[in-house]
Amino acid sequence: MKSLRARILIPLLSLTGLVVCLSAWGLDQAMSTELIRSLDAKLTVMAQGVGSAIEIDIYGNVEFDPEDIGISELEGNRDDFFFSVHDSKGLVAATKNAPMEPLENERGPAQFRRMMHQENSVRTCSVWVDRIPEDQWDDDENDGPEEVTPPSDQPTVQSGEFLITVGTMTSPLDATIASFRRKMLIGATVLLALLLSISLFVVSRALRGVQRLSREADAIGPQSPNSRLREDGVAREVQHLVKGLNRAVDRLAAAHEREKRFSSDVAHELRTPLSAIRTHCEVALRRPRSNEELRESLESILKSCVRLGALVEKMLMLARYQRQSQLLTRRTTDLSLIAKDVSSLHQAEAMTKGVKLTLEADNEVIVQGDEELIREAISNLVHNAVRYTPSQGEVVVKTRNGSKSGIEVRDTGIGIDQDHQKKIFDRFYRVDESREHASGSFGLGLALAQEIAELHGTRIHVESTAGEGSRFEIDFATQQFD
Amino acid sequence: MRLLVVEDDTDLATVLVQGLREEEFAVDHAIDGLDGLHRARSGEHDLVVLDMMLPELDGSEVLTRLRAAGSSIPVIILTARDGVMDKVAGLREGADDYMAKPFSFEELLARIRAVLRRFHGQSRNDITWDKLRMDLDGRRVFWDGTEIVLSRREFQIMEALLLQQDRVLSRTLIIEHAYDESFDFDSNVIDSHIAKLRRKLKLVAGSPIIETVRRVGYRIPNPPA
Repeated sequence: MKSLRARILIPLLSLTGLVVCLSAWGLDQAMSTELIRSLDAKLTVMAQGVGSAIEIDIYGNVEFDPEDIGISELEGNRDDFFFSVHDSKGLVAATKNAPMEPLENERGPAQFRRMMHQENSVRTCSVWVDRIPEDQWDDDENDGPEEVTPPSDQPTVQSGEFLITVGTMTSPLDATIASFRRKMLIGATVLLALLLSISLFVVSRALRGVQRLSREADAIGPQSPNSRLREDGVAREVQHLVKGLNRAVDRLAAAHEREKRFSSDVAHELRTPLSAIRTHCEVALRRPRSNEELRESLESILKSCVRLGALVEKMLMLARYQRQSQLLTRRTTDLSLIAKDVSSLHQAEAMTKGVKLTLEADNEVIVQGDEELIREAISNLVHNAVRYTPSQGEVVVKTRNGSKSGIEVRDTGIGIDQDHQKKIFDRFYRVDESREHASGSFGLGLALAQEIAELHGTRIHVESTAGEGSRFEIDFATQQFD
Repeated sequence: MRLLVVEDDTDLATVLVQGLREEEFAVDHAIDGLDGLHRARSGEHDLVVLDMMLPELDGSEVLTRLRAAGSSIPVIILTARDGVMDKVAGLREGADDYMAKPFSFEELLARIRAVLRRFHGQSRNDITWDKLRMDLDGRRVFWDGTEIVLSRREFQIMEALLLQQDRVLSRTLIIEHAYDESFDFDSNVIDSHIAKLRRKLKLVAGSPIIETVRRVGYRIPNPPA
């Protein structure tokens, strides 16, 4: 995994580098082309000038007067310009600074080339010009050639085509291009270096928040459950991540807190009866006791032992269901049958309390599940309903068939207010600590029932109004198995 | 010595109260935090045994409020939680000692006595007055090596007076110290106990030691130089 800095900088800088190089190359090309083009234009003009210096007199003699060229570079003694004039027979009619090799040049547009001439790199322009004798000039021509006397040693022609080659040394041009390239290279290098350092700086600055976050993240742990990543001072993209992480930490912290509370509750629930047993024994043994006193002590100890046993049993059950991620046995189970069994199981308890316990069961309500577990869950619900319903009240166990197959337990008991409704399924949660503790409730029944419902791919729903009663419902129609 | 046990588990509370009463303490019981705080603030008790996990008002909250109200009554906390933090927090909030459940009753007794002794500024668990020596652990009284046999009530009254020498204790104060709430309030009982106590003391020590302050109560003066 490359660093984020490298991930950003390497492609960015490579691309920028490529663009800079391409532009430099393009610029160089354009520059050289333009320079050569203007040189060629100049050479063309020069060739024309040379051409205009050729005259053919009325006798057909070719005359060449360098004074007529009218271009300063070709006059005088400049040795960096050359020209030669060849006639159609390939003979040199005139030249400056050593004649150049006659070129194989078909008639056509001007031709340019780079060639070696006297150990110099030379750019030449070759162009054919037509000259006609003086008398053939129309009268109305303004700038007719001057009258010349044909030299006797020159061949005479009636009209002539001349190949004019003009050349100049390319060294100044090459020097200009080289200097331009040098400057461009330096410029590009400086530009890239500048870009690299600026990008490094900018990216590092942008990532400084990330480094801070990783330091903060290191500090999060069980020892500091309330520390979170700071959400400000980072880029928006990172902020989303930070918020997401913080939410994840919140959830973990809440789960951790629940587990901590649970184990603390377990400790309390186990140690308190143990303390009672131990104190009973110690107090009983401190002095001689009558049989009656000893019997009382033993009875109290037995009571505590039974309570401890029941608690351990419930906790083991809870742990077993929680470890289980899905049902071990899943068979067709009749909810109505279970409802009937559970109702008769709690009938005695209800009658003692003066609570009317009725069963409203359809013939057969078939669901998929573990009969033993469903019985446990419903038994817990009915037990609670009877417990929290005062005398003269009513508890109804009802099963429903069809598309809404399920079971509900409703009572006309004390009800649960909104605040408590959220927590009643938490382990060891008791709405009224003091009273329920004395009545031997552990606050595990609903947690257990919910755990069982979840194993069956559903949840227990509760509707309740304080003072009026509660309705617990397990809807098996929405059952979903993984 | 009168103790207050604040414990919500009735079974444990019952046997604790019984055990402590048998050890010559007067003991009251509070079932939840609010009740516990209310009683502890009444100033009638010499020490509170406070469970940490209580309904209505958490044990640590009881302790905090008790200390905030300016009470310096010794408190021993009982905790069922695992964490060392719970104990540390308890001590920081002003508990004098702690016991982790399940605790040994023997040890609890020893700690109650140690805390009481410390609170009354004694290094040993003896109170002496001239040639009189009161062994608080063994619940016995000696004069110059000779034991004076006292009843449980007589011992408690003697203890109350000796712990606060040269201070006049009203009958009510003596009752608060020596009896718990199950006592049927009748201050004449104190007078008769004091009379018996004086007789026993005079027999061995040659003086009744306890002085009567008319219309106020009783006092044991500072020992003769």
